[in-house]
Amino acid sequence: MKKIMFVMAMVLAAAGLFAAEAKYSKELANELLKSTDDSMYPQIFKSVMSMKTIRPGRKPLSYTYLIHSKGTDKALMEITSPARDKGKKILMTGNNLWMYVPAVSKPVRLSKKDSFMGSSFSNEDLMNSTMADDYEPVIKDNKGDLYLLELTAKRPDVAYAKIEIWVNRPLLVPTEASYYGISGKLMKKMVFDKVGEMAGLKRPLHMKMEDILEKGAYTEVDFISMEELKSLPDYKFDQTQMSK
Amino acid sequence: MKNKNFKIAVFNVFKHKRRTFFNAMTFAINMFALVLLLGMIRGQYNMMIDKTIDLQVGHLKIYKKGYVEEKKRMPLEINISNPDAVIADVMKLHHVKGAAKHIVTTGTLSSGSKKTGMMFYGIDMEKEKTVTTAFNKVSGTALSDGGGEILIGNKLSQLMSVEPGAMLMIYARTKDNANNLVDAEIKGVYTAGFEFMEKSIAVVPFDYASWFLSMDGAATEIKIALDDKKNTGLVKQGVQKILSEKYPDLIVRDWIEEAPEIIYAIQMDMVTYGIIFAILLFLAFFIIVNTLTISVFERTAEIGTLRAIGMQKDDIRKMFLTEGAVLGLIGVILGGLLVLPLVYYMNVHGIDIAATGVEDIGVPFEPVMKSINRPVDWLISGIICMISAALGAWFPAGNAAKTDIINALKRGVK
Repeated sequence: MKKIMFVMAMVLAAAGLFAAEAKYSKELANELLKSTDDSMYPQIFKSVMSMKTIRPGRKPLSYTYLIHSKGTDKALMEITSPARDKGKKILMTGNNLWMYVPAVSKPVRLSKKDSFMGSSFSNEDLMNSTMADDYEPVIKDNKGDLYLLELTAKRPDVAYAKIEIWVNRPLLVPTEASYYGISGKLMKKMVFDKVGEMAGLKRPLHMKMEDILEKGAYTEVDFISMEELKSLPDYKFDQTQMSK
Repeated sequence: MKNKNFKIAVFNVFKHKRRTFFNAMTFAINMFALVLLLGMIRGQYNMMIDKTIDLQVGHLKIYKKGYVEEKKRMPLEINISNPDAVIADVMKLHHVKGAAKHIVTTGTLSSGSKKTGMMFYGIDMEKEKTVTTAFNKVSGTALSDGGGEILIGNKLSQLMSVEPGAMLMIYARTKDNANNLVDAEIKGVYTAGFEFMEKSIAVVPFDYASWFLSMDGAATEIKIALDDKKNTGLVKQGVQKILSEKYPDLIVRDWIEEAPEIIYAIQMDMVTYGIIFAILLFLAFFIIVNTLTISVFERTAEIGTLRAIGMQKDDIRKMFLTEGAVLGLIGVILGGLLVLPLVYYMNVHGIDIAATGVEDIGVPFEPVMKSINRPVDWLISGIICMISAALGAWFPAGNAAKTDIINALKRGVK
């Protein structure tokens, strides 16, 4: 009798697993990841973004940027405020990062791993916006409309070995993301909220990135405006044109 | 006549004892300062090089070809895949005291409440002791072979308010450029006597660094220590031979190539000391010009008498030049002897300059400043003093020679 009970239990467990597999299909995972990517930024766009960084014991850092972006590998960010930093530009092209300071004649090369303007974001965090290219998604859980995607890096050179991201399925926007290192340790945590329509899609207009390395430190990003563009000339993303 | 001039000059020197004393003391002080300065320059020069070699660059370093050009970004992907085999071969060379593999990278160290940018060294503690004294003074315990352990510098420990036993987080990029974050327990706090190092370099076990940076046992550099830096060129040739035969994708660089900033700092120091030398020379020159000019003025009647009894202008000039040289010689001998006890003290014991905050500067510095003097220092200083004496006597001697006999004799009649 015990044997029969055990076999039945195993059959039920297997059925449950298959059901879960069916419930969390690969297609759905891919769809949710793609929608998460799409909800962040359009392919070609112009946007105004504010960024505020809080670090314990330090003065808050606030910047406003005018962003021009084309695809996933070209972005130009120009500081429009505060006045003392106005005109500074950060160019991201492929794997290269440059910073132009009006007082210095030549752009300075930046490292991908460095902090972006003293914020909790690394330069690389802002460079790569298409997770579908770099990660394999699996749905691990769901709570009502919220689905937990576990993203595993497809290659060893991807920034984070694992990302866990909660996605609001009806709205097709992310609500929370946790970024893990190769050791499996949590490195950063981001909360996405204030969902609103911008450039034709519902997008999280406010993001808060918590820095695990410094308790109480975080950076908030607010999209003030976003406009989808049909095209942007490539010379706009030329490092030699940064002073213009 | 020459002998007569010399005798008169020597007679004059000893006749005016007080004047002679002050003039000779001027040269003696110069001689004293020059000998002392030469020893201190050599001592400081040697100490800076030895400290830099010990704490930073080693006598020799081996890298993968292409690493040096990219060294600023500390590329993990340009690495030595078989460091242990290379070390085993290098250790067979004569004059090699030790060789140790390193993984060097940058990242962030966090205590949870505070974080700071750091350089991380993955080291094999046992081998490391053969190439540096940096981790000889450790409060707490030494690193083991593996595991999440870290040694931090004394200055960093103060800045982050952390002590042995506390846990820290290490953030770094792997060889493949992926982010990683690991925990490490502070096993000890090292005191290297070089604030820059204590503030910005933390060390972890080689195997642990290899794991969290995905290095698969590869190293970014091999540091080699020799029994004496004068053997650097010889051993470098030996290492080059080994590399060209067995490891053609590796290169070796000596400490001069590795620490150009130290050479530059020493050159700058040399300029400073050159200026001090020139000032001393200038002072001695003016003092001797001044005293001999007064001497000429005071001895106008005497010069007139000497000229009246047949001494030629040239003899008068030579007499004053000889006086200057004799004064210089007395000063050189006096200064050279007087400086001996201090030279002995500076060469053997030195002065403790730790309290002056000298460790804050950007180059490694020994807290006890010692001199290194050689017999040639007395020769160089003596020649410099004699030159300043000769130059200082030249113009007054010329003036003395030009003195008109009648006017000179008249001035003598009171």
